[in-house]
Amino acid sequence: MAVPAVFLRSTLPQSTVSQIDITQAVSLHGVSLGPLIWSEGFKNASSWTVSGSGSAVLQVNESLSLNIVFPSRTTAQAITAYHNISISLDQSPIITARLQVSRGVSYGLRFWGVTKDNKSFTAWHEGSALQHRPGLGAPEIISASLVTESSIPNPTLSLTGARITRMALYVEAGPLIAGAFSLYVSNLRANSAQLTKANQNEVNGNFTALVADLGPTMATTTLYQVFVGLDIKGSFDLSYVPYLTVGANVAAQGYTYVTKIATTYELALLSPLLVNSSPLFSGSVHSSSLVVSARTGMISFFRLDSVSIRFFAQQTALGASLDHLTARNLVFYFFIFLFVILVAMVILVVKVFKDED
Amino acid sequence: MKTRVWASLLVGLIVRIEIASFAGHPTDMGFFTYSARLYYETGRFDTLFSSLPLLYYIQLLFYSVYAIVRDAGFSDTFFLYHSSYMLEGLILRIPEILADAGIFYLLLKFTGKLRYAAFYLLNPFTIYLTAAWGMYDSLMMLPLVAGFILVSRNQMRFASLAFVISGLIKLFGIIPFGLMAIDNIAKKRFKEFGIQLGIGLGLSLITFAPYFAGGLENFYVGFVLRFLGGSGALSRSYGIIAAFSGLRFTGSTPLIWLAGAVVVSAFIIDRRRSDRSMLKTLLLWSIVAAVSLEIFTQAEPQWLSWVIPLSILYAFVAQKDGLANFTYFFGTASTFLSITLLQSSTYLVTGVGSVVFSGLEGLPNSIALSDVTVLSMLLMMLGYVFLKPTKFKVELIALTALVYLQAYFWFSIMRLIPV
Repeated sequence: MAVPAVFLRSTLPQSTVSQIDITQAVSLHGVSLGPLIWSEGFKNASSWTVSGSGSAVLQVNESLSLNIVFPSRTTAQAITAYHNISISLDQSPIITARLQVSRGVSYGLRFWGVTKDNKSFTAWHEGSALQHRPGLGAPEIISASLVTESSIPNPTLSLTGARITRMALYVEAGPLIAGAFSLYVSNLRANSAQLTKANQNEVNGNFTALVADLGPTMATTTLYQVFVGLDIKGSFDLSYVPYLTVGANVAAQGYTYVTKIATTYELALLSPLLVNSSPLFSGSVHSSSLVVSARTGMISFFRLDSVSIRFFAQQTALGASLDHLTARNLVFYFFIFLFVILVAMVILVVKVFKDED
Repeated sequence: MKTRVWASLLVGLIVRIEIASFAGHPTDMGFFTYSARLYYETGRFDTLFSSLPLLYYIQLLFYSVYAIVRDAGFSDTFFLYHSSYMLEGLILRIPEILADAGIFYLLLKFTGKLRYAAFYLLNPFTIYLTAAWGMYDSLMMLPLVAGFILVSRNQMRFASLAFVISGLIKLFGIIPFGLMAIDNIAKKRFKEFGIQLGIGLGLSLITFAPYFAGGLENFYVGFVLRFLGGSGALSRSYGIIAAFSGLRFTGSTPLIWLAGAVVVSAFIIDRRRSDRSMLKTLLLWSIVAAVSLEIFTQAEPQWLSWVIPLSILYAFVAQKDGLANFTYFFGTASTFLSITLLQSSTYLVTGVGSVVFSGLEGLPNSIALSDVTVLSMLLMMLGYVFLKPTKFKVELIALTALVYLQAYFWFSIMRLIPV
């Protein structure tokens, strides 16, 4: 059988799988949180406006406190606090909020901005980690890149010279959720993202993420797996997650990796099936990028060794439809072979057993 | 006797082929399909294959039949949401189905009991793995069983060869190989140890050689560390320790080293103090090692199949008929638990998971429920292995059901779990 295996190599006429190997990134940047570029002092209550269903009391005194009472209703309710700000997107701002929201309700942050030509745009989108977050009843810190938040809903918009001009904090309750809830924000600020350009494929420093530009965006409908060979060192508590971003979207994500004693090298596997978060720093919206984002600790050294991107055109049967009844019938058919026939055979063989004994 | 053997073999094969023609684990079959197609469509050898290389070579050999059929103009078809074509998926599983038939033959030949051989071939768990899932544990178990039979014939060098082949398909085969090596050292048979080591290293080098082309670092991290439980990825774990502690391990829990030390020490003491034959001792501690791996590592459900042929062999050599009977119950119950609690009844059939039996699947804390029930069965199995020979008692089925129901109540209904 070895002969056909050798001679039939690459003879299958179909073209359903492929692999692209990248050994040299277009560019590699180490990213860390830079200087403070904006901070909300919570000094002027009149700069905040509150609207929505339910009753709310807003207190602004070096922190923001929004106390809400939602009456019992059959529809969802929300209270939103709006505030005008001015943050330039040219500085790649990372917004960070330290806050606490009651359990039982959800909350989120939304942003709006204007371009250099004074054209307004929405800088939030459904599916973002900033939206519909469940209240924990405990202090938490959330961060997001305003460039990413702006790019995803506006993939073709030029953000050069654009500014974020308005933000909103909202608290929402599902149907039939009633009672008193609160939102408390103790700190709201934006830092610029500081980029350190790497020579070739490796970089030294103190980073929270690495962004490798892999070239133009690619079609991701048949993206199957990405293998990334990387050498990484960092603080003792370093754990990190690799992402493949295409434009502003996360196309594939890896597991959370920790550093090993045996080697600093890692062969990370990324898959579209593992996507459940997005990196704080992302690459250019016009490129495909590999982002290695520290979840805990800091990265001190990074070398990109290889990237293998695999595509697999998986089809489904033409006209495949799967209603509950069909699925159930198929499972019964499966169980007949897996259990019933075997039990019947065992009953038959019981006689054989007896004969043997 | 001959008719009964053929009837059993025929039923075992027909059931496997029928299930393999439409069912399959979409993710795992996707891995195998991708790598085979990469070779036959693009000519690229997959140095990033998801498993050990020997499996890839075997799959490429059998896939050549499919390539011939496709090159001749055959048009294959998809079934629902599976990742491979129907005939393609079946052909990828032919080696495992043949391995199951091979194990049936070896057990029959060695024990002379059709019942023992049928407990393997007609075991729902081995059929579930080979035919429905597409897992390749039977390929590992064929040389493993052959190795133990060679040990019984005192053909130690050939046994070592068989265990190495087994270990090159799935690492578990290295355990009896390693225990034999330790025995050689302990008894100062250094020449035998050297020959054994030479066989192991030589075969491993030949098998892995094409993979060195992918870079030594990739080989070291992608194969050596990953398969030895030293991966840096905090991935999913089915193990009972992870289920109850909420911890994510990179491969195995640190306790596996303790369990390994206990197994090796116990094996050495057993060899020195007891008058058990080498075969009995090797089988006994290989079973204990398999159970330890199930408890202290990420415990993939397919690993449960390893104890089935080993226990059947041990039941024969130690004259513990109850243990052989228990393996059939163990396999049937494990199939039920794996389908309902770790996957879903539709997952392997349609390619997408959904709940058909709402009281049995899609339950909260289902991994913990499965782990506790499986642990109880593994302990019963160890009871059969270590205690005086006893008959298989139907009460054990009731006891297992009771453990399942208790776990169901506390973990799935009351949701009392520390994580």
